[in-house]
Amino acid sequence: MTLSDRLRRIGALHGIAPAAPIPEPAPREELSGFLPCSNMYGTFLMSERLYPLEHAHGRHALQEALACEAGALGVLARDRSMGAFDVSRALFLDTETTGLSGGTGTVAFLVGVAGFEPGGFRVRQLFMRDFDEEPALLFHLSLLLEERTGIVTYNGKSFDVPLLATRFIANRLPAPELDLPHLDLLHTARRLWRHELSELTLASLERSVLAVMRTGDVPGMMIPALYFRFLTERRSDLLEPVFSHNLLDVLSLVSVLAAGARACRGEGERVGERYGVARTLDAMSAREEAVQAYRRALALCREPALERTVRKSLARALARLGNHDESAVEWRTLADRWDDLDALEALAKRAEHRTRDLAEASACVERALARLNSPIYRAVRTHDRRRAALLSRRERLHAKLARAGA
Amino acid sequence: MRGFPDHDVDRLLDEIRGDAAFQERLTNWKVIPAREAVTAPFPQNIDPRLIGAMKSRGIERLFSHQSEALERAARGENIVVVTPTASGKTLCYNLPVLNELLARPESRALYLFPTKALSADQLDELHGIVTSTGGDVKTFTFDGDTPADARRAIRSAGHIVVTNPDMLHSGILPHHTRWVKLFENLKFVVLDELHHYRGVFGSHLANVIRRLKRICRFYGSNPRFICCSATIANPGELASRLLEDAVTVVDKNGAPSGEKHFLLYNPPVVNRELGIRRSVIKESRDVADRFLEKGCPTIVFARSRLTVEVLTTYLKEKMSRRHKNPELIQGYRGGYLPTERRAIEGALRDGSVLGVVSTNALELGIDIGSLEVSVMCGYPGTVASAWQQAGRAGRRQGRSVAVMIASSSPLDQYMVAHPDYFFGRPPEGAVLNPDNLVILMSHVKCAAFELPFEDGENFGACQEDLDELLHFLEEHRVLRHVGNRWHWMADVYPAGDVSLRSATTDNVVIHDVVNDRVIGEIDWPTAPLIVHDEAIYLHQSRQYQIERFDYENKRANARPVEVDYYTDAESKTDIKVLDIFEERPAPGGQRAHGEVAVTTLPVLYKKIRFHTHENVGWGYIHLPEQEMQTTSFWFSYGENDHQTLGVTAEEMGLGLKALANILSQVAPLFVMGEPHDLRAVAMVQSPFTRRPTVYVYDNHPGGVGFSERIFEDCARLFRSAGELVGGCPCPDGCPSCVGPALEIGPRGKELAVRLLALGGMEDRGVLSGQGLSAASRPSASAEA
Ligand SMILES: [Zn+2]
Repeated sequence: MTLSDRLRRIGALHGIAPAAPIPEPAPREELSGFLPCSNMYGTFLMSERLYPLEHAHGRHALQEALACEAGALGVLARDRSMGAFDVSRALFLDTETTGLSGGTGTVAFLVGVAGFEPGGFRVRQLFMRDFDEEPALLFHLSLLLEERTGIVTYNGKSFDVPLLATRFIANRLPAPELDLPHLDLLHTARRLWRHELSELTLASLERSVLAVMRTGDVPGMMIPALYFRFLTERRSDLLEPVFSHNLLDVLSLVSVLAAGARACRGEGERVGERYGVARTLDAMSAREEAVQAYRRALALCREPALERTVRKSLARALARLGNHDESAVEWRTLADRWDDLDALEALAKRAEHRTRDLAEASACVERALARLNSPIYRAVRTHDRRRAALLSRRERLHAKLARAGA
Repeated sequence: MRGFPDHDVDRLLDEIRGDAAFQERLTNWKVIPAREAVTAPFPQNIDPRLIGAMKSRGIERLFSHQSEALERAARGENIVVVTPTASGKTLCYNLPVLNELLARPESRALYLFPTKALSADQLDELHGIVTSTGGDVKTFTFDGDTPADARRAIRSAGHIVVTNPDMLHSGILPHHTRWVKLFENLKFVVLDELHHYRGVFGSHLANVIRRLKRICRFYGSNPRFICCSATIANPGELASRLLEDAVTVVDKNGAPSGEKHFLLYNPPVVNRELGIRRSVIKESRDVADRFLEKGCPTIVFARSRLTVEVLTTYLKEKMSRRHKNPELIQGYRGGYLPTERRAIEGALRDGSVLGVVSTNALELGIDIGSLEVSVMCGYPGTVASAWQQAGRAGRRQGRSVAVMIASSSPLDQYMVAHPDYFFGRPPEGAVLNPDNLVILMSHVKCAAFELPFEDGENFGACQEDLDELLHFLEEHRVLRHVGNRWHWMADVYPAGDVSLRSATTDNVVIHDVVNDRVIGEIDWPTAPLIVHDEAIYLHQSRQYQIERFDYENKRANARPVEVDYYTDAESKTDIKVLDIFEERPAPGGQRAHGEVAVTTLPVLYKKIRFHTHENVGWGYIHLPEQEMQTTSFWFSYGENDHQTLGVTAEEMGLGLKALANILSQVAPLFVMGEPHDLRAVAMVQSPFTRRPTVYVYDNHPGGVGFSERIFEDCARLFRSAGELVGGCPCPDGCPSCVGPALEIGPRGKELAVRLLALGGMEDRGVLSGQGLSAASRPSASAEA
């Protein structure tokens, strides 16, 4: 009995693709647009394209990213120290891999890297025709990295960069410095656009924010299978869509950066984005700028639910600035328009301690308690705690009123 | 140490001696005398800080086995330390490891415990020693509960990483590049509770160790292994099969121990025909309460979580009735919160809890101080476990008592009836089969994912199969061979699909449709008999009825119900022999083992009422037959043996059925298996041997080594089974021996005894087993 018969009989084949004969290894032909690139570790293929700085990828020209000022970079990274990030010397990086689950057995078979240079924006694609070309590819990548002082990716902090670090170790190659200042635009996108986009893939940003048109694109989850087919069939047409997918991804990194910079300058026309910038500033304790940004977002607000959220953030930011009167104006709007519980609580507190208007405070407490009694609030986890706090405030107010009355 | 005066136990022992009813139920009262300590000075070359730390804890000299372990480990030997509970075994690995880490702070060690519960406790002790050395040795637990932000620090800074095999397999090895520091500097791997790594789990672990060594080679390290095992027949063999390397056995225990009284107790028979004895739970309650009433700190071991709850309730009630605080009794089992467990452990140590009822969760190294009495509600399944549980009472000095109370299951009955077996040489040998094809292939895939195989590379001891497997995986597009290496070529994470606790890669998911949640998974091969339509499925002592078993999608929909019956499925099993590995004539027939295909066709199920066991209904099961290839032992009798025995062919069939029943019950004893590890089937005329034949097969696809072991030791198995059946007081068979007379016919029991005698005849020229002394005695007299 052969091994495969035995394996079949004991049911070891569940979930394994059917057997197929292994074809003779086909010659490694060159692919159009790629040239062989050799070093001490062997040969791999590389393509190069130089885009002029004024090249428009969607609504943004590439050079807009270069114009990104320090303040904007700090906001995009939510880290002031990243203001020193030098876009002109950064490496834009995106990989295509043999698996999406991570772990040592996942390989980056195509690495798109790009960067600005005096004459334009140069995109290189490093491609291995088979697994044995990986060391040569990685070695060349480490040379390219040496010229760069930072990294720009989309989800590279948790995916591309650790994966490459693993590949260097697994191939026993001296690892380049991958721990460079790293602008991961997925994190930026989450902060800036999650208030209006339900999905934050690069492709959805392209559609909704960057105005980049992709045609005939291949879904990311299909890519490993295409590469595996290429390995046995050696048909370069299988990978054409993958190469262009990767190329567009790299170019879109530049556009996301440009779009983000524009948003930080307050030039965007999207209310969610303005709100995202304001929240980021708020989180970075840039209070006055945050207040301005909230107001800019409010100016565009048409949708009541978002307006309520923005106004609430504004009210809190104003209070933190010590501007209690303006804050109270916002809370009052919130209380009048939406019977907002947070607003009623804030107003009650203000009336009790700041303006010492006990009647007003009492009225707010009563309204808040009634509000808390509505079905939506009764189901909320914090219901009991809030109710207890309001009741004790009511008790205290009654005592104060009694004393005042006496 | 506890302040209970010794005479409480003494007085109680006297009282029991004078209690005729109690005495009648005892099948044995063994006194194990106290033993003096054998000590040795600290070996040369031990870091003085470590000696200081020991002395600060009152340890001036080591026990002899500790110092031997330390010396051998320092010399670079792999060792397995075999010592009973409370012999200070943790120092056997903590000392060599800390000595290394104090001398070379860049060194690393990996501790593996079979379950998670152990780690917290081990960690506390270790932290204590480290603190008193003043050295900078960082110890971390890394498991499923470790928060993501702590993981990075553990990977780079942890000197000792404490984890379990499952985490090593699925969380560490596949990400070895994040653990460079650990793997480059790994000096020691500690495997505690080695005897757990047997059967399926052991076969997996051997492969995880192959992968671990492979990663270590890649990073240029070559760690030594320090193993600890409870007393089993073959610790050295087990360790060297797991490690595939030479291992020194350290088994001269130098720790002192107090006098121990070990009582084997059989509840009285209440119904001879049905073989029903008084409930083991109630009996355990009464025995335990006798000791608790006198204020003896007592631990009661129960086999299931449910029994723990029931016994805890019973014992609390007894306390209340005496107007004592019922909180003096506590339950302890998996499923309690870690904080609850820590609190109970602490209360046991300081004496604020008097009695604890536990599953085997407390069998292991958790520190609960020294109790005086251990009561086992049922035989824990292996002799090794029974000794560990008995060892929870009585540490190094003072008298202690262990009482094992038998249930009416055949194994329990055998144990209480055969104290020689129980107290004699350890009878059970752990078996494993790292080259089980299903298991091997799973780990070859995991290993290829971790690092490409190179041409000519070894994977443990299985060179030939490895090449074939790699080619096989290439044909199936899992691997790609290029440039002398085999690269992983699939978009999956193989370790995620492999459970170390199962030999199959497929599971059936059981889904509670009312609460819309998954309540469990079971192995594909056993699913048709457990989750067929209408089956009652028990999960955490809740009943569910299976609404539909979706065979194609491997999913069973269940609905919570409350009924007074359970279901029992019957199937038709057919066995086809594919290959004979070995065949030998035996005096009473012919024995063999080899590869077989087992087909199982579920036929019908019965509804059986709880307590009365009456049949209250049945139904057909409509499911396709299942085929499994595995390994089997078989024994065939002479073609005309039924005539020689003076019975009809039909009676012979029933006798063989009785034989199969008892063999499947007793066989796990010899291989340290669980009841579901083995199945037995009898055929009056097996199509393969054309003779009356009984097959005992490994119930895991591919086999994990059980049947080979049974083949080697079959005469002893048959004799032990014969003694058990002969000693059972039932007239015509009962569930405690060959099965009820209803099932095996009026002559089934008698025939089984005769067939067992034929199979148990001494095989001349082959050294069979270890001279079971009970074998020479007439087998029919019951001691009870
Ligand atoms: Zn019986």
